[in-house]
Amino acid sequence: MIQKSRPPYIRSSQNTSYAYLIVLVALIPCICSAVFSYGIRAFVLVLSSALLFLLFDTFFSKMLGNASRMQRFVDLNSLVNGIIFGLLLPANTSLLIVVIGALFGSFVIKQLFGGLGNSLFNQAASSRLFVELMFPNYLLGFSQPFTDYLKTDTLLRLKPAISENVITTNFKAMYFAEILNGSYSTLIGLGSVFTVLIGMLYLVLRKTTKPYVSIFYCISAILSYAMINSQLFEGDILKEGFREVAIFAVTSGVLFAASYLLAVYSNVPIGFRSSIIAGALSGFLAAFLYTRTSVGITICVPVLMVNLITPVLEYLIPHRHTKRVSFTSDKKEVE
Amino acid sequence: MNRKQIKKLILDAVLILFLSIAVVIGGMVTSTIKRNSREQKSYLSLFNEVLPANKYEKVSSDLLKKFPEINSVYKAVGENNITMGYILDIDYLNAEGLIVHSLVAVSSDGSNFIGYKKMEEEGNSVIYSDSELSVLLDQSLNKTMPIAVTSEEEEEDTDEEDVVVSITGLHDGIYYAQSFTKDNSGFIDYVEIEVNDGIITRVKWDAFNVDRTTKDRSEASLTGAYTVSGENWATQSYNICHALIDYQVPSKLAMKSDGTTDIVPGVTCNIRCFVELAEECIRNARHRFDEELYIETMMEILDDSMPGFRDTCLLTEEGYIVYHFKDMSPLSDPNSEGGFYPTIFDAYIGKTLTPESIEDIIEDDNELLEITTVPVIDTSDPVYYEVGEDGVVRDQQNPVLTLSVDGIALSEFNTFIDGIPGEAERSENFCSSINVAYKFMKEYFNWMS
Repeated sequence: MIQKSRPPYIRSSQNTSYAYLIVLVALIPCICSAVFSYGIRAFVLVLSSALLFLLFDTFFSKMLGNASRMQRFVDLNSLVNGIIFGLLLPANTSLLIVVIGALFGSFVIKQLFGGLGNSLFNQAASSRLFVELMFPNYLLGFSQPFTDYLKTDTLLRLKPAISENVITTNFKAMYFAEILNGSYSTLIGLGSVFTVLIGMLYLVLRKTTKPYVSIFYCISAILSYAMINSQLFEGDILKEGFREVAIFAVTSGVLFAASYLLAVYSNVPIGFRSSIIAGALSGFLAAFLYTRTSVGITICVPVLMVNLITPVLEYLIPHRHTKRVSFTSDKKEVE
Repeated sequence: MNRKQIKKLILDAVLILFLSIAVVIGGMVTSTIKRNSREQKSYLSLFNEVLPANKYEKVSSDLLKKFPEINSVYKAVGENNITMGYILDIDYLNAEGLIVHSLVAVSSDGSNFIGYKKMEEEGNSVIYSDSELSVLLDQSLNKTMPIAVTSEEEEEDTDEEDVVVSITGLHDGIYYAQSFTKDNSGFIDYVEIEVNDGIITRVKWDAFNVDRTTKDRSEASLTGAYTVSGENWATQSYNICHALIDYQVPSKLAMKSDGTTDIVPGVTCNIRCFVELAEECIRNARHRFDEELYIETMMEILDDSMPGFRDTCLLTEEGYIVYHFKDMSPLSDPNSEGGFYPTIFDAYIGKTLTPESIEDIIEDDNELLEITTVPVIDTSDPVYYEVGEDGVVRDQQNPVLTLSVDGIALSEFNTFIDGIPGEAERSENFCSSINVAYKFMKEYFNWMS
């Protein structure tokens, strides 16, 4: 028989609400970085995204009869997903995109699957990918950080976004220290690597979940990128090659995805062996997508792939906390 | 979740918040310091030759949008933070489509030309040899801007008292154009011109109010209800209309970038609207789009957009439509996404003509207006000018002055140079790029004040 329970799946004194509160605290550094880098726009994007996800989740859960599932605690999951979605947007994104993303994530990804704890896919990553695929021109509003703190006109813009600064992939023209501090245009939550690392470190210290997938995802992504990008071996590998790989690690959003999309409460494998497989595959996919698509797709597609293969991996490679069950006979346990 | 856990979480949140702020601010500061140091290095290597200074600061100003030739402007700062001057990175495009890419340094008060560096020349650049540049700089460096070139070319003998400048291709009739928007007082400007024998013989500039209990602007200005600096508006309108009859070409009114002109006595008000509407009237005259057709077309456009408009709209005594466009949707151009017709004539041809015919008209518009001299037809106390189109001041001893050079009224020019011998055009290009810097600095200091 299938034993159904909500994530996280590790035995802990922490309940779901508490785990989400920890994630919310872990997101504070990225929110700080976004607001300090892009000003009011970033604050409004993150805040409105969180509130809209909460609002739509509440509304649709009541409409579809999923509300009873949430009676025991406040749906902090919506706030967390809303904030992550907001952090994955360029600074000059219109609020229209936030509304569309929140609607899609709330209704299609979460409530149609049965509400909180039942969704197969990560809500924030799904919504982000959806808006990226459906409205690519509206997600080009990259802006130079540390300028135009009071700019707000882009929030109400209904036309495709205008990029003030195209993200450069010419690594030789980039300065590593400035990349670490978020001096180059990127998604608002990805600016400062240090803040992402603070969030990641906090989650690890609070033992919200086992970070196996995240670790193998990062390792796989970096190794895959080094192997895929043959140009690395043409010049001075020690000087240029490692520098370029390091730049990939901090500009691709791999650390962000590992910290907030694969390490916590999501539908990711928790067994060691299945985590290796999921992490390796998703890392390779991230490295493959990095030079071919936008940073939004590079972050979201591997996460959704992990979500998709998790049930299969958990079934095929059981770990000591779970039991393999038969889908064919109702109560006959296989193992 | 118990109280202890919540307290711990709040403490964590506060600590992480402070830590994050410290990290972000620290990162910002270190990044900014490194970037500034790197920028200064590149500025020093680039600008030191033009205007030596301790440091250079990039000037950000909305005015730059008005000067597409200017790529960027830098302030050169010396010891004790004293401004040494400004450096402008200019891409001046001449009439042949060639670029003069240069760095022009001007003094801190924006008056003197104090440094110059030619930038890397590309295929479509005006190329100066070092010796040519040396000649030009010897004549112009540390001189007051703007700068013009004199020429010793002989003028054709023309009997100045018997000629007036005219635009070819004007059809006889009465032509009209009105502003799409009202001004702060609710006035909608309009210009009416009459063309006889291909010459503009009557010009009227006035404005009616959207509040029909208010008198027209000229009448209101005579009663004191509408005031402007200098002469009353009606007088200024009369003067500028007369000047257009004299010059025949709106561009010869030498409107400055702030919308005023120095060459028409008694006119201190902003004439931008007049010049734009007059140009529209002239274009209408070239295409026989007369006043009657203009008003009927406008009426049709508004009636299509707002059914019943024709029956309910307000008209002035002259029959002009009292309407200001709150948005441009009635003039939206179906062939251009989000675009709209800039004039009623464009809307007319857009709705009635084939794309091929429209292309012909646009091509016709793009052709340079041919200026001819024709016999004087009628005027009591005329002042006639022979207008040169090349921006060259002929014969320094007895100059027959053009009215403006590079859009700058000639009265503003203080420095005239001979230029490179036998290379008047290339010398003018050099001066024009410096004059771009002059125009910007002039507006920049106005803006600053």
